[in-house]
Amino acid sequence: MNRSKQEASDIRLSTLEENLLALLIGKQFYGLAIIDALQEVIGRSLSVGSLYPALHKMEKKGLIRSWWGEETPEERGHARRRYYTATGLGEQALKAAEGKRRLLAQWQPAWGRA
Amino acid sequence: MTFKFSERWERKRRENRLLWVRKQAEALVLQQKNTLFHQMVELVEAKGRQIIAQKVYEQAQREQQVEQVEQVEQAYAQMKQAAAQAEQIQMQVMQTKQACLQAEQACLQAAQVWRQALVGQSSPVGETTIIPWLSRFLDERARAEWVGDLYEMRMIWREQGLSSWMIHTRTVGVALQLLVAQLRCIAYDRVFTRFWEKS
Repeated sequence: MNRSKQEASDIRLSTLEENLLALLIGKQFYGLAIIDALQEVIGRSLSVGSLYPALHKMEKKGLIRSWWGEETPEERGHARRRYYTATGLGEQALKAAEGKRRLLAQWQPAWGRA
Repeated sequence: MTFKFSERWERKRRENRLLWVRKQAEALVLQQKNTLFHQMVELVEAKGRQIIAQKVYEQAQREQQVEQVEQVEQAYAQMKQAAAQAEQIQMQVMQTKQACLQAEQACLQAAQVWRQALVGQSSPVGETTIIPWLSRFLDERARAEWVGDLYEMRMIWREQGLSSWMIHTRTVGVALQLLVAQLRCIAYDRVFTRFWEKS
């Protein structure tokens, strides 16, 4: 457990990766739904050219996992959707990143400390 | 004289005795006849009762048969009525099914017309030359996932009312992004395999 936490705290996350993990913890979305969610919440559109490599990289790191959906809608040319969700490691990595950010917010230079 | 008297008396006594016996016999016969008569009457009555009972039994049996026949006829009539109703319902079900099929066909036709109207041409939903061209450069998973998403994007753009040339331009842009994304993924895989998995 400590090793896993240590491993999670060692993983460096980009802003996009943090956003994706925050979105995918406890939920499952496919590519276009992720783009829509990020655009709606953050207010900035994310291109597919950035999203898919980020998802690919995060999956390789074990932060997220994915699987094929069952539906084959006609509007997708009968292609299946691939759903993504955060793994336990991803959740821990995000918590570690948020912890670091909190520490960073509370940090003071040596000459300013009491 | 004495002899005569005694002989006459004896004869008289014998005659009386015979008369008594005869009367006794006649009384017995009468009694027997009476008994026989009563027995005959009883027999006749019993026979009569038996015949009546038989008649009643036969009558009851006939009535029961008639009743049973009536019940059977009634049940048969009900069965015929039920069969007629079932046939009617079956006809209605067939009519409803036919109406459903017609409605489904109409719905499909309407959906097709709607899609054609959205596309602005008679081609299927995702038909474009860019996507097959793009698919040649993508690996199997990316082809299924990314190209599917691209088809879905085109559908959304159509629903938003974008013109065909705008959709075409955006498709080209996304296709180029996906090509770059594929290159980035390949590069990442090579780096990941060479350096990080070794450590």
